[in-house]
Amino acid sequence: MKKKTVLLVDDDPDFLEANRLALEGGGFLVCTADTAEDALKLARRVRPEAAVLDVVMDAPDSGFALARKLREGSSTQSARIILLTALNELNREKGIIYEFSDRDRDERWLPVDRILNKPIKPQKLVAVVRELIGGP
Amino acid sequence: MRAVRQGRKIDSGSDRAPVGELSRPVLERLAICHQLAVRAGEEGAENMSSAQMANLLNVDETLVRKDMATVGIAGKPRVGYPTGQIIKRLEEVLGLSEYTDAVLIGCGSLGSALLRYPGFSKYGLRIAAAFDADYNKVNQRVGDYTILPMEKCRSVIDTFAVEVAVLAVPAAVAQETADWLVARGIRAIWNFSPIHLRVPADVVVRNENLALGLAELIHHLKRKGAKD
Repeated sequence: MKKKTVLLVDDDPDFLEANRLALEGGGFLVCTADTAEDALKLARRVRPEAAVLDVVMDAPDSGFALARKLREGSSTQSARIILLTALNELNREKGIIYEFSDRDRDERWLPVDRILNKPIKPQKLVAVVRELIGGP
Repeated sequence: MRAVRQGRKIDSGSDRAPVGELSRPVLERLAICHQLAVRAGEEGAENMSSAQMANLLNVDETLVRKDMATVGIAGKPRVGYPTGQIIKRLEEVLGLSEYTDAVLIGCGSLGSALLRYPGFSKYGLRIAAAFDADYNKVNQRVGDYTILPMEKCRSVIDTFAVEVAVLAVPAAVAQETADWLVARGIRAIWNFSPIHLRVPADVVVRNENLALGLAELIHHLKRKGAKD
Protein backbone atom coordinates (compact mmCIF):
# COMPACT_ATOMS: atom_id res chain seq x y z
CA MET A 1 0.00 0.00 0.00
CA LYS A 2 1.28 3.47 -0.87
CA LYS A 3 2.57 5.39 2.13
CA LYS A 4 0.96 8.72 2.92
CA THR A 5 3.22 11.74 2.65
CA VAL A 6 3.74 14.32 5.37
CA LEU A 7 5.49 17.60 4.71
CA LEU A 8 7.38 18.93 7.74
CA VAL A 9 8.30 22.62 7.64
CA ASP A 10 10.47 24.22 10.31
CA ASP A 11 13.65 26.27 10.46
CA ASP A 12 14.89 24.21 13.40
CA PRO A 13 16.92 21.24 12.03
CA ASP A 14 16.66 19.35 15.36
CA PHE A 15 12.88 19.58 15.27
CA LEU A 16 12.81 18.36 11.67
CA GLU A 17 15.05 15.43 12.43
CA ALA A 18 13.27 14.25 15.58
CA ASN A 19 9.82 14.45 14.05
CA ARG A 20 10.89 13.02 10.71
CA LEU A 21 12.15 9.92 12.52
CA ALA A 22 8.97 9.64 14.55
CA LEU A 23 6.68 10.03 11.53
CA GLU A 24 8.71 7.58 9.45
CA GLY A 25 8.55 5.19 12.40
CA GLY A 26 4.79 5.64 12.29
CA GLY A 27 4.76 4.48 8.66
CA PHE A 28 4.60 7.84 6.84
CA LEU A 29 6.73 9.09 4.03
CA VAL A 30 8.27 12.38 5.17
CA CYS A 31 9.71 15.30 3.25
CA THR A 32 11.13 18.37 4.93
CA ALA A 33 11.76 22.04 4.19
CA ASP A 34 13.29 24.79 6.31
CA THR A 35 11.69 27.79 4.59
CA ALA A 36 8.14 28.56 3.51
CA GLU A 37 9.28 29.17 -0.06
CA ASP A 38 10.96 25.77 -0.37
CA ALA A 39 8.00 24.14 1.34
CA LEU A 40 5.57 25.52 -1.22
CA LYS A 41 7.65 24.27 -4.15
CA LEU A 42 8.00 20.87 -2.50
CA ALA A 43 4.30 20.64 -1.70
CA ARG A 44 3.37 21.34 -5.33
CA ARG A 45 5.66 18.53 -6.41
CA VAL A 46 4.92 15.82 -3.84
CA ARG A 47 1.26 16.71 -3.04
CA PRO A 48 1.42 15.66 0.62
CA GLU A 49 -1.63 14.35 2.48
CA ALA A 50 -0.60 16.43 5.51
CA ALA A 51 1.63 19.43 6.19
CA VAL A 52 3.04 20.34 9.59
CA LEU A 53 4.03 24.00 9.61
CA ASP A 54 6.01 26.11 12.01
CA VAL A 55 4.71 29.70 12.20
CA VAL A 56 7.74 31.89 12.83
CA MET A 57 10.42 31.16 10.24
CA ASP A 58 11.94 33.69 7.86
CA ALA A 59 9.04 36.02 8.72
CA PRO A 60 6.91 36.21 11.89
CA ASP A 61 3.86 34.95 9.99
CA SER A 62 5.53 32.54 7.54
CA GLY A 63 3.42 29.57 8.61
CA PHE A 64 0.14 31.51 8.39
CA ALA A 65 0.97 32.74 4.89
CA LEU A 66 2.13 29.30 3.79
CA ALA A 67 -1.10 27.71 5.02
CA ARG A 68 -3.11 30.17 2.92
CA LYS A 69 -0.98 29.51 -0.17
CA LEU A 70 -1.36 25.75 0.26
CA ARG A 71 -5.14 26.17 0.44
CA GLU A 72 -5.19 28.33 -2.68
CA GLY A 73 -3.17 25.96 -4.86
CA SER A 74 -5.13 23.32 -6.77
CA SER A 75 -2.39 20.73 -6.24
CA THR A 76 -2.02 21.40 -2.51
CA GLN A 77 -5.44 22.45 -1.25
CA SER A 78 -6.50 19.01 -0.08
CA ALA A 79 -3.56 18.64 2.33
CA ARG A 80 -4.55 18.60 5.99
CA ILE A 81 -2.62 21.34 7.76
CA ILE A 82 -1.28 21.33 11.30
CA LEU A 83 0.19 24.57 12.63
CA LEU A 84 2.76 24.00 15.27
CA THR A 85 3.92 27.08 17.08
CA ALA A 86 5.87 28.45 20.01
CA LEU A 87 4.20 31.81 19.41
CA ASN A 88 1.86 31.50 22.39
CA GLU A 89 4.76 30.92 24.76
CA LEU A 90 6.77 33.76 23.18
CA ASN A 91 3.77 36.09 23.48
CA ARG A 92 3.27 35.16 27.11
CA GLU A 93 6.91 35.94 27.82
CA LYS A 94 6.44 39.36 26.20
CA GLY A 95 3.27 40.02 28.22
CA ILE A 96 1.02 39.76 25.14
CA ILE A 97 -2.18 38.15 26.28
CA TYR A 98 -3.73 36.72 23.15
CA GLU A 99 -3.11 33.13 22.15
CA PHE A 100 -3.75 31.08 19.07
CA SER A 101 -5.87 27.98 19.35
CA ASP A 102 -8.21 25.89 17.23
CA ARG A 103 -10.86 28.58 17.83
CA ASP A 104 -8.94 30.86 15.47
CA ARG A 105 -9.26 28.55 12.48
CA ASP A 106 -10.80 30.45 9.61
CA GLU A 107 -11.08 29.68 5.92
CA ARG A 108 -9.71 33.12 4.96
CA TRP A 109 -7.04 33.87 7.55
CA LEU A 110 -6.15 30.56 9.19
CA PRO A 111 -7.27 27.75 6.89
CA VAL A 112 -5.75 24.97 8.99
CA ASP A 113 -7.05 21.80 10.60
CA ARG A 114 -5.26 21.99 13.92
CA ILE A 115 -3.25 24.54 15.89
CA LEU A 116 -0.87 22.99 18.39
CA ASN A 117 1.66 24.42 20.81
CA LYS A 118 5.35 23.67 20.78
CA PRO A 119 7.05 21.84 22.31
CA ILE A 120 5.21 18.69 21.28
CA LYS A 121 6.26 15.10 21.81
CA PRO A 122 6.94 13.40 18.46
CA GLN A 123 4.55 10.57 19.43
CA LYS A 124 1.79 13.11 19.99
CA LEU A 125 2.44 14.65 16.56
CA VAL A 126 2.28 11.21 14.95
CA ALA A 127 -1.06 10.62 16.70
CA VAL A 128 -2.51 13.93 15.45
CA VAL A 129 -1.34 13.28 11.89
CA ARG A 130 -2.84 9.79 12.03
CA GLU A 131 -6.10 11.26 13.38
CA LEU A 132 -6.29 13.64 10.40
CA ILE A 133 -5.19 11.47 7.48
CA GLY A 134 -5.48 7.98 8.87
CA GLY A 135 -2.76 5.41 9.23
CA PRO A 136 -0.37 4.42 6.50
CA MET B 1 -1.57 45.04 28.64
CA ARG B 2 -5.05 44.87 27.24
CA ALA B 3 -5.47 43.59 23.74
CA VAL B 4 -9.25 43.51 23.73
CA ARG B 5 -11.52 46.04 25.37
CA GLN B 6 -14.92 44.80 26.24
CA GLY B 7 -17.84 47.14 25.85
CA ARG B 8 -20.55 47.43 28.44
CA LYS B 9 -24.22 47.83 27.82
CA ILE B 10 -26.04 50.37 29.93
CA ASP B 11 -29.75 50.14 30.44
CA SER B 12 -31.05 53.59 29.74
CA GLY B 13 -34.13 52.81 31.83
CA SER B 14 -36.39 54.68 29.43
CA ASP B 15 -40.12 54.28 29.87
CA ARG B 16 -40.89 55.98 26.59
CA ALA B 17 -42.27 54.25 23.55
CA PRO B 18 -39.60 53.41 21.00
CA VAL B 19 -39.61 55.55 17.89
CA GLY B 20 -40.03 53.98 14.47
CA GLU B 21 -37.24 53.79 11.94
CA LEU B 22 -35.81 57.22 11.25
CA SER B 23 -34.48 58.38 7.92
CA ARG B 24 -30.83 59.28 7.56
CA PRO B 25 -31.47 63.06 7.25
CA VAL B 26 -33.56 62.98 10.44
CA LEU B 27 -30.87 60.98 12.24
CA GLU B 28 -28.22 63.43 11.10
CA ARG B 29 -30.27 66.43 12.28
CA LEU B 30 -30.96 64.77 15.63
CA ALA B 31 -27.27 63.94 16.08
CA ILE B 32 -26.40 67.60 15.47
CA CYS B 33 -29.19 68.71 17.83
CA HIS B 34 -27.68 66.46 20.46
CA GLN B 35 -24.26 68.08 19.97
CA LEU B 36 -25.82 71.54 20.16
CA ALA B 37 -27.73 70.65 23.31
CA VAL B 38 -24.62 69.25 24.99
CA ARG B 39 -22.72 72.43 24.15
CA ALA B 40 -25.62 74.60 25.33
CA GLY B 41 -25.84 72.59 28.53
CA GLU B 42 -22.13 73.03 29.15
CA GLU B 43 -22.62 76.77 28.75
CA GLY B 44 -25.42 76.71 31.29
CA ALA B 45 -28.43 77.09 28.98
CA GLU B 46 -31.47 75.38 30.48
CA ASN B 47 -33.58 75.62 27.33
CA MET B 48 -33.07 75.74 23.60
CA SER B 49 -35.55 77.14 21.14
CA SER B 50 -36.40 75.52 17.83
CA ALA B 51 -35.32 78.78 16.18
CA GLN B 52 -31.83 78.50 17.70
CA MET B 53 -31.45 74.91 16.57
CA ALA B 54 -32.89 75.64 13.12
CA ASN B 55 -30.46 78.53 12.71
CA LEU B 56 -27.46 76.39 13.61
CA LEU B 57 -28.70 73.50 11.48
CA ASN B 58 -29.50 75.83 8.60
CA VAL B 59 -32.99 74.35 8.19
CA ASP B 60 -36.52 75.60 8.66
CA GLU B 61 -37.78 75.93 12.23
CA THR B 62 -40.83 73.76 11.52
CA LEU B 63 -38.53 70.88 10.59
CA VAL B 64 -36.83 71.05 14.01
CA ARG B 65 -40.20 71.09 15.76
CA LYS B 66 -41.29 68.11 13.68
CA ASP B 67 -38.08 66.20 14.54
CA MET B 68 -38.52 66.94 18.24
CA ALA B 69 -42.14 65.77 18.10
CA THR B 70 -41.13 62.60 16.25
CA VAL B 71 -38.90 61.53 19.12
CA GLY B 72 -41.31 62.73 21.80
CA ILE B 73 -39.51 65.83 23.06
CA ALA B 74 -42.03 68.43 24.17
CA GLY B 75 -41.29 72.14 24.13
CA LYS B 76 -43.05 75.13 25.62
CA PRO B 77 -44.07 78.23 23.66
CA ARG B 78 -41.60 81.12 24.13
CA VAL B 79 -39.42 78.93 26.38
CA GLY B 80 -38.20 76.17 24.09
CA TYR B 81 -37.09 72.65 24.83
CA PRO B 82 -35.39 71.74 28.13
CA THR B 83 -31.73 71.13 27.27
CA GLY B 84 -31.47 68.20 29.68
CA GLN B 85 -34.50 66.56 28.13
CA ILE B 86 -33.10 66.93 24.60
CA ILE B 87 -29.81 65.35 25.65
CA LYS B 88 -31.39 62.48 27.57
CA ARG B 89 -34.00 61.62 24.96
CA LEU B 90 -31.65 61.91 21.98
CA GLU B 91 -29.11 59.72 23.74
CA GLU B 92 -31.85 57.10 24.07
CA VAL B 93 -33.03 57.45 20.47
CA LEU B 94 -29.54 57.57 18.94
CA GLY B 95 -28.30 54.75 21.14
CA LEU B 96 -25.67 56.97 22.73
CA SER B 97 -26.40 55.69 26.23
CA GLU B 98 -25.29 52.21 25.20
CA TYR B 99 -21.88 51.10 24.05
CA THR B 100 -21.61 49.12 20.86
CA ASP B 101 -18.43 47.13 20.35
CA ALA B 102 -16.64 47.45 17.05
CA VAL B 103 -13.50 46.01 15.53
CA LEU B 104 -11.15 48.28 13.64
CA ILE B 105 -9.46 46.73 10.63
CA GLY B 106 -6.38 48.41 9.21
CA CYS B 107 -3.96 50.28 11.46
CA GLY B 108 -2.18 52.49 8.94
CA SER B 109 -2.09 56.27 9.41
CA LEU B 110 -5.85 56.73 9.23
CA GLY B 111 -6.75 53.64 11.25
CA SER B 112 -4.24 54.60 13.94
CA ALA B 113 -5.63 58.13 14.10
CA LEU B 114 -9.15 56.71 14.53
CA LEU B 115 -7.83 54.41 17.23
CA ARG B 116 -6.34 57.33 19.14
CA TYR B 117 -9.52 59.40 18.90
CA PRO B 118 -11.22 59.32 22.30
CA GLY B 119 -14.51 60.82 21.14
CA PHE B 120 -16.24 57.70 19.77
CA SER B 121 -17.36 56.60 23.23
CA LYS B 122 -19.44 59.79 23.48
CA TYR B 123 -21.40 58.41 20.55
CA GLY B 124 -21.75 54.93 21.92
CA LEU B 125 -18.99 53.29 19.91
CA ARG B 126 -16.23 51.40 21.63
CA ILE B 127 -13.39 49.89 19.63
CA ALA B 128 -13.03 46.42 21.14
CA ALA B 129 -9.86 45.52 19.27
CA ALA B 130 -7.78 46.64 16.30
CA PHE B 131 -6.30 44.38 13.65
CA ASP B 132 -3.83 44.53 10.82
CA ALA B 133 -2.65 41.98 8.29
CA ASP B 134 0.85 43.47 8.29
CA TYR B 135 3.01 41.69 10.86
CA ASN B 136 5.30 44.70 11.09
CA LYS B 137 2.42 46.44 12.86
CA VAL B 138 1.21 43.51 14.94
CA ASN B 139 1.82 43.82 18.70
CA GLN B 140 2.62 47.53 18.38
CA ARG B 141 0.84 49.90 20.73
CA VAL B 142 -1.45 52.60 19.36
CA GLY B 143 -3.07 54.65 22.09
CA ASP B 144 -4.63 52.20 24.51
CA TYR B 145 -4.57 49.34 22.04
CA THR B 146 -2.24 46.55 21.01
CA ILE B 147 -2.60 45.81 17.31
CA LEU B 148 -3.68 42.22 16.83
CA PRO B 149 -3.03 40.01 13.81
CA MET B 150 -5.94 39.41 11.42
CA GLU B 151 -5.65 35.73 12.32
CA LYS B 152 -7.20 36.64 15.72
CA CYS B 153 -10.08 38.66 14.29
CA ARG B 154 -12.53 35.82 13.83
CA SER B 155 -12.39 34.64 17.43
CA VAL B 156 -12.71 38.22 18.75
CA ILE B 157 -15.80 38.82 16.59
CA ASP B 158 -17.28 35.52 17.78
CA THR B 159 -16.37 35.94 21.46
CA PHE B 160 -17.69 39.48 21.82
CA ALA B 161 -20.54 39.09 19.31
CA VAL B 162 -19.26 42.16 17.47
CA GLU B 163 -21.55 43.47 14.73
CA VAL B 164 -19.80 46.70 13.77
CA ALA B 165 -16.52 47.12 11.90
CA VAL B 166 -14.51 50.23 11.18
CA LEU B 167 -12.69 49.60 7.93
CA ALA B 168 -9.49 51.50 7.15
CA VAL B 169 -7.63 49.15 4.85
CA PRO B 170 -6.10 49.94 1.42
CA ALA B 171 -8.62 50.11 -1.42
CA ALA B 172 -7.17 47.01 -3.09
CA VAL B 173 -8.24 44.74 -0.22
CA ALA B 174 -11.28 46.65 1.10
CA GLN B 175 -13.99 44.69 -0.74
CA GLU B 176 -12.59 41.26 0.08
CA THR B 177 -12.14 42.31 3.72
CA ALA B 178 -15.72 43.60 3.82
CA ASP B 179 -16.99 40.35 2.27
CA TRP B 180 -15.15 38.37 4.93
CA LEU B 181 -16.48 40.59 7.74
CA VAL B 182 -20.04 40.20 6.48
CA ALA B 183 -19.57 36.41 6.30
CA ARG B 184 -18.40 36.56 9.92
CA GLY B 185 -21.59 38.30 11.06
CA ILE B 186 -20.70 41.98 10.86
CA ARG B 187 -23.88 43.97 10.19
CA ALA B 188 -22.58 47.55 9.99
CA ILE B 189 -19.41 48.85 8.37
CA TRP B 190 -18.02 52.33 8.82
CA ASN B 191 -15.87 52.47 5.72
CA PHE B 192 -12.85 54.77 5.54
CA SER B 193 -11.32 52.88 2.63
CA PRO B 194 -11.56 54.87 -0.60
CA ILE B 195 -13.91 52.55 -2.47
CA HIS B 196 -17.65 52.12 -2.56
CA LEU B 197 -18.38 48.78 -0.87
CA ARG B 198 -20.94 46.32 -2.19
CA VAL B 199 -22.70 44.53 0.66
CA PRO B 200 -25.96 42.58 1.11
CA ALA B 201 -29.12 44.58 1.74
CA ASP B 202 -29.22 43.75 5.45
CA VAL B 203 -25.76 45.25 6.06
CA VAL B 204 -25.40 48.98 6.66
CA VAL B 205 -22.41 50.79 5.23
CA ARG B 206 -21.42 54.35 5.92
CA ASN B 207 -18.77 55.42 3.41
CA GLU B 208 -16.38 58.16 4.51
CA ASN B 209 -14.52 58.81 1.33
CA LEU B 210 -12.02 61.48 2.40
CA ALA B 211 -10.55 61.84 -1.10
CA LEU B 212 -14.01 62.47 -2.52
CA GLY B 213 -14.76 65.07 0.15
CA LEU B 214 -11.49 66.84 -0.55
CA ALA B 215 -12.11 66.76 -4.33
CA GLU B 216 -15.54 68.32 -3.70
CA LEU B 217 -14.01 71.10 -1.58
CA ILE B 218 -11.29 71.87 -4.14
CA HIS B 219 -13.84 71.84 -6.95
CA HIS B 220 -16.04 74.35 -5.11
CA LEU B 221 -13.06 76.55 -4.28
CA LYS B 222 -11.98 76.58 -7.93
CA ARG B 223 -15.48 77.38 -9.14
CA LYS B 224 -15.75 80.15 -6.57
CA GLY B 225 -12.33 81.51 -7.65
CA ALA B 226 -13.39 81.50 -11.30
CA LYS B 227 -16.58 83.46 -10.48
CA ASP B 228 -14.66 86.04 -8.42
